[in-house]
Amino acid sequence: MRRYVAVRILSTLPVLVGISVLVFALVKAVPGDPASALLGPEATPQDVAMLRDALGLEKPLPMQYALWLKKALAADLGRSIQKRVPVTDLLFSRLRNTVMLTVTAMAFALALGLPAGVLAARRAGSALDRATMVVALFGNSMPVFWLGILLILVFSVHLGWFPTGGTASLREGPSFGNTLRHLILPSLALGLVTVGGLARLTRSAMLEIVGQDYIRTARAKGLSQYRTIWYHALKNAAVPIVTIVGAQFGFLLGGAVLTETVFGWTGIGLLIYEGIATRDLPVVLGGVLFVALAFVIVNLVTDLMYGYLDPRIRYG
Amino acid sequence: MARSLRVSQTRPEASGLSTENRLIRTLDRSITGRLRKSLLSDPFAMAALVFLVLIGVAALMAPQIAPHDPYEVNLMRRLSPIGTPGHLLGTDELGRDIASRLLWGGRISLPVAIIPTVVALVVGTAVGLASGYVGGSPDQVIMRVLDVVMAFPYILLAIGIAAVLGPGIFNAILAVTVIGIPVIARLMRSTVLSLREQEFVLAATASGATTSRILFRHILPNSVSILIVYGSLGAGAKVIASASLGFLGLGVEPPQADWGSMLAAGRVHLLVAPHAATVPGLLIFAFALAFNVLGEAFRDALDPRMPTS
Repeated sequence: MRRYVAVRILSTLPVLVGISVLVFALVKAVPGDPASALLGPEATPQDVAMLRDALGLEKPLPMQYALWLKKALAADLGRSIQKRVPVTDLLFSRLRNTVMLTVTAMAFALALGLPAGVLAARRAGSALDRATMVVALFGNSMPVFWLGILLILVFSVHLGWFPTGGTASLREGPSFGNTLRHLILPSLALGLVTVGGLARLTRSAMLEIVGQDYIRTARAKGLSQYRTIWYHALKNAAVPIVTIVGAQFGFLLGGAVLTETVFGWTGIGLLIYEGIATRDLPVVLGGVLFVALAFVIVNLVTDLMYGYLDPRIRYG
Repeated sequence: MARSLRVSQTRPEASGLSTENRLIRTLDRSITGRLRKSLLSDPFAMAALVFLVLIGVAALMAPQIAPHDPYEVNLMRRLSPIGTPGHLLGTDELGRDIASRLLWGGRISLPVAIIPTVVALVVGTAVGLASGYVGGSPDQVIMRVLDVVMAFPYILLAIGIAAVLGPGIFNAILAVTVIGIPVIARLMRSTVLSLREQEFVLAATASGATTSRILFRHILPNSVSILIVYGSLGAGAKVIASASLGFLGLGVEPPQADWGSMLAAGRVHLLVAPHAATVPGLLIFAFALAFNVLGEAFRDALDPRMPTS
């Protein structure tokens, strides 16, 4: 097991290097000279040249990359042009809210999608199965920002059940209930666009398992349908389902940018949006890098979970 | 038939392949045949196709059919509701006619969704074909590069690229294209890997067919159905991705508008005029849904082995 973990962790290194190269390339593709941008229009060419030298902008590209990487590893992604504070400080201050949003959204998606997928597989071709297909089709075609707006219109504007946006009402002061009321609609929006895909993937994973010999054996020896499906089959479908959940997190993290923007939920996504609106590119690229790293970690964790769930993988 | 005759006349060594050619052509025909049949037998798929054609024609003819100038500001009539005389879908925050702006917006939203789909399909196919057929270390390098692109959460890389390059229709197209290539390339590569070992490819190789002949006459035609299915499903995803960029302000610059940016502008006035945001959103949804419905119908028609999930 230890060997499996080590190999798996090492194998994410090339991906991490690749991500850092790609983000560095984007940093270099930002139009304009960073030195003149920092110094403003009154700077003399000599000042600019000196700053360029000090920033290492005259060095060859691989060297610049190495310097950038060294800083990035020390959690230095530069400063926000607008807010004049380190980008990583901003990111960490928003991290909690984004984690809360994506995890709750995933909980919604799992709570609805997993049972729906299992039942759809059990009764392939039934009305429920077809309904799952339709929900998945709609979820795949639904822009999350539009769904968010519809939810706000129905549940906040017309019914008045939930606030229209934000992270907490200032009047009430911070409390669990306050945050929860603000969290429900955005995570529901994000969860609902994911749930159909999750249900369909669960369904096909289950269908694959149900065709296996040991399920036939379980049926043949007289186990109830309930035990066969929920104990034997679902347990064995765990590995593909964990994969699905891991992959869907990427979808959720990307969708969080849009969802947080619609609901004014102050997470990393909203930070990226604010960075786009004010052309604060260090914030945008820092956010992109940060979220990509988070996704790599999620994928690593799901892979490690395979080893735990299925001993065959560990030794394979 | 005429073609295979010509082939056997000009290339004597290929005479053995003429039957095979004919087989491939029969397969081609049956693909279009199956597509036609699935469209005729599935009213939803047919409706989706008709809707897509209508939307395309409407966007093309926007200058002729738009009831108003999409940029004409009229502050007296700002945020008029749906059904206002002369403004079927109401007006936006500057009193501009929403229906006209949607029609003109289609001239931006359609290309930003469709061009990346086509380019990603072509580039992804080329990369996948080459990578899968050549194999070895070039294949490894290409796959690792694709891994890196796919390691970014959905749409996030497109946001980064578009943000760096700045708003603009070309930059949006580029950003959406980049995130579309890896899926197609991987799909194509795995198809090549499995087809490469099939008897008809081995036979072609043994009879001395050139690499390009094997790739373009044998492997590619047998991948067409997969490409059609993923092309149309991919188009649905591209519609959402490009609308998302527009929504985030990474599409075109005002006063021009794509559907995503119209929705973003209308969002501010949600309480007084919900239609300004919901109508463009509905159109984006319908547009993406049409591609997805079509893609699913094609999947059912073309490949019973493909999982329906």
